[in-house]
Amino acid sequence: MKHHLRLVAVLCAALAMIVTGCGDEEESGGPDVEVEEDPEFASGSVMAELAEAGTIRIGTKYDQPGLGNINLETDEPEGFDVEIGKIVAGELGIEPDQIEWVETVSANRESFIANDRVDIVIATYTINDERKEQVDFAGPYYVAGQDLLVAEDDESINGPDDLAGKRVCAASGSTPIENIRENYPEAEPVEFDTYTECVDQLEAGQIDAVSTDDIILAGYAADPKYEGKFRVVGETFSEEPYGIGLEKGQDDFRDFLNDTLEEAFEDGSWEEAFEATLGASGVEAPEPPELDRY
Amino acid sequence: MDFVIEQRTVILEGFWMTVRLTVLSGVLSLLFGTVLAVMRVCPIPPLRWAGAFYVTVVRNTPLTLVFVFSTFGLPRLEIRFSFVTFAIIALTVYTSSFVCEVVRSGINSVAAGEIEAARAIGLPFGQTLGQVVLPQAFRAVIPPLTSVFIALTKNTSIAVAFSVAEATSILRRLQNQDASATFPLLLTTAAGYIVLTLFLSFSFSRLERRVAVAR
Amino acid sequence: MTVALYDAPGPRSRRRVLIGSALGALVLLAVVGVVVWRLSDTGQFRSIFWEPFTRSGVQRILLRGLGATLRAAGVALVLAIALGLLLAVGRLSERRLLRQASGVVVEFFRALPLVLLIFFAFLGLPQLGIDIGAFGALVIGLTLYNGSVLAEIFRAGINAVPRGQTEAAYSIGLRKGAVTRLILIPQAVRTMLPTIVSQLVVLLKDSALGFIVAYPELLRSGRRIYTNIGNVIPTAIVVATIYILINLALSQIASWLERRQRGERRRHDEVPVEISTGQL
Repeated sequence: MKHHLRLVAVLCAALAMIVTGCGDEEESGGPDVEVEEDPEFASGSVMAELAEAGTIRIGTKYDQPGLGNINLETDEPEGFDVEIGKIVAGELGIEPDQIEWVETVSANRESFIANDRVDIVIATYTINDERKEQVDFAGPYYVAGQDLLVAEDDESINGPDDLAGKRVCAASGSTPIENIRENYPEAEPVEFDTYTECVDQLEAGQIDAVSTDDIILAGYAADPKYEGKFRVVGETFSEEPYGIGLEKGQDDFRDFLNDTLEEAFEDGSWEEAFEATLGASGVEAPEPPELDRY
Repeated sequence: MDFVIEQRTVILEGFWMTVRLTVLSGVLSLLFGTVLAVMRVCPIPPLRWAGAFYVTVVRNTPLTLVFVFSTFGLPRLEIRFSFVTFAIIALTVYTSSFVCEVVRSGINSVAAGEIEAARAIGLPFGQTLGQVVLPQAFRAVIPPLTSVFIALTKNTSIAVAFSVAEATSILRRLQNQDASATFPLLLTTAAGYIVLTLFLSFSFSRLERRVAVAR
Repeated sequence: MTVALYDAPGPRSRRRVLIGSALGALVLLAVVGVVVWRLSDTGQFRSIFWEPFTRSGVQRILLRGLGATLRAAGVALVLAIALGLLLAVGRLSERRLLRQASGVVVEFFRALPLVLLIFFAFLGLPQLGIDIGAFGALVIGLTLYNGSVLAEIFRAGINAVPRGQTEAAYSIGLRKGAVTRLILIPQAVRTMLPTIVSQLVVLLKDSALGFIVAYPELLRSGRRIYTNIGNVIPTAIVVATIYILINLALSQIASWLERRQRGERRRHDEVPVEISTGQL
């Protein structure tokens, strides 16, 4: 009985947050970010160059609600990844409106870094050994895990073991789709270019589940467009530490990024960024992760 | 190359899907395209206009957009099929307009004397068309129809972006798994398509020879 | 000219045609009715789905997409004409090796799906250390395919130049290269101009394959709108209308060019060349 009451209370709180929170915060473009005035950097360092230029090119996703999603009116992306980017830029003395955002999709992140089309990538970028051979990572600034998004009223799926005979969608060429193919061969894999298309098909009733990192799924669940339609199952079956990708060998820059993240974990700006974006759905901000200064 | 050999069953399954898409949408387009062509030459004005409207709209729309309509649009109208069926619908809708134009020009290529003779012995439109014109038209249209079906075979590859595991999408998946096998995979897939299109032109030219003798 | 498949209707069949028309119209109305009913029943006409197209942000995205489409199609057309001329001249060369090589190239690129050609550039070239991006991959794919198609068109055009012209050119002492460059190609391009313009329709439609490699052309830009707002059908209708209008305008230009040339040809008493376009 007590258990039930608590559940009702949590649901009410979540509902209240959805009703009151979404509309306003979506348009405000996140919390104000602290911008350092004339920060000092060792001359010749990447930071000094960027601070001198007064701008930074950040690769992020343009269609990942809650993390990096384009606002059609302002033509600027918004979300948790974008807020992390603003914190980094602020530390370099760069105003948020001086950041040059570049759309990156899962398949082109490494090549964009290698070919100097961006300075850093903050785009739900999982740190793994294979990628470490091509780029360096700062962070993680968040640890996600592969999870499932299903229709609100679908009670038949409560974890990856319930996927037999179900149509499960993930992005082409992504780790989640390979994971489903390898480890859950009973499921029927469906793949599109991006998760937005998967979620679109879930809403249209063409598929049974979308599978990728829980934080991405939470972003969709929190999207006002899909209000009350989906539920994140909450059984993660992998670990995906998100890092900031940068060119290999820029050790001073990597240290700087790690220091910036550490500071953001401690002074609450990390939590603020989370609350303003993904938190809008009623998802509690978790504890900040351990940095991995490899 | 080892990777290609190792994955040969997956690659063959992909081409099997390509063949299925081609054959099913090919047959459906032939039927629907002929109906459209008959509409465009019949004595009833509204049907003529509808046929012309359909052909104008579809021929000027990119096939990829037709795919978006079927795979993402139809579910929004609560019309739900498998993604393979949506691909067949898109390919059929698109290819029919080309079949229609080929059949129509075939109808126009039948000698005027034949049609006049048919009318002179009092055949109505339906019989003139069904018993005199269409059988001859189909002979004349075999070569252009071959090009339409070869194009259809190649067009099935657009389904790669719409969750159909046909040859091109298998190529992309395997390339993603092992980038070092990129060129062997690309060349194998290319060879597969060439075999399919060659087979198609070969069978159609045999068919053409056979009906030519029948004449 | 279409041969009439039916007699000029007498009073009775006029009545039948009238009844048929009424029935046909009824059937068509029913079809349209069902479509409209499905659309409205599922809320496709709601203003939240259509209102965004009046906003400047959305319009800017579409316009930029249209610009990207025209850029890809335009660059590919220029390159395809160049490649087409090269291959056509190669196929008409007196050197057997060159002739056969050009023939193989033309047949190869015409036999492959355009998506696969784009993938050759998009997935293959980076393996060789060449990063050309989505635009480059799309343009290369379009160029290879359309260049091969145009090669066949140009070849027919060159063959259609009356032999007397070549002979006259040789007799005034021009070399083979000069004959090709000064006499044959200009005339071939002129005769084939309508066909080249209709090939542009094909190119424009095919540029929508940029969708598959995430090049932000018109369709991909439309996708950005519908994935954001969730209005696939309204967006697809708007985007389709843009493609159709542009393509109709191009077809008009092509048939105007053709009419004009037919007029000229009648004056010069030449044999018209019949070429079927690869409209697919």
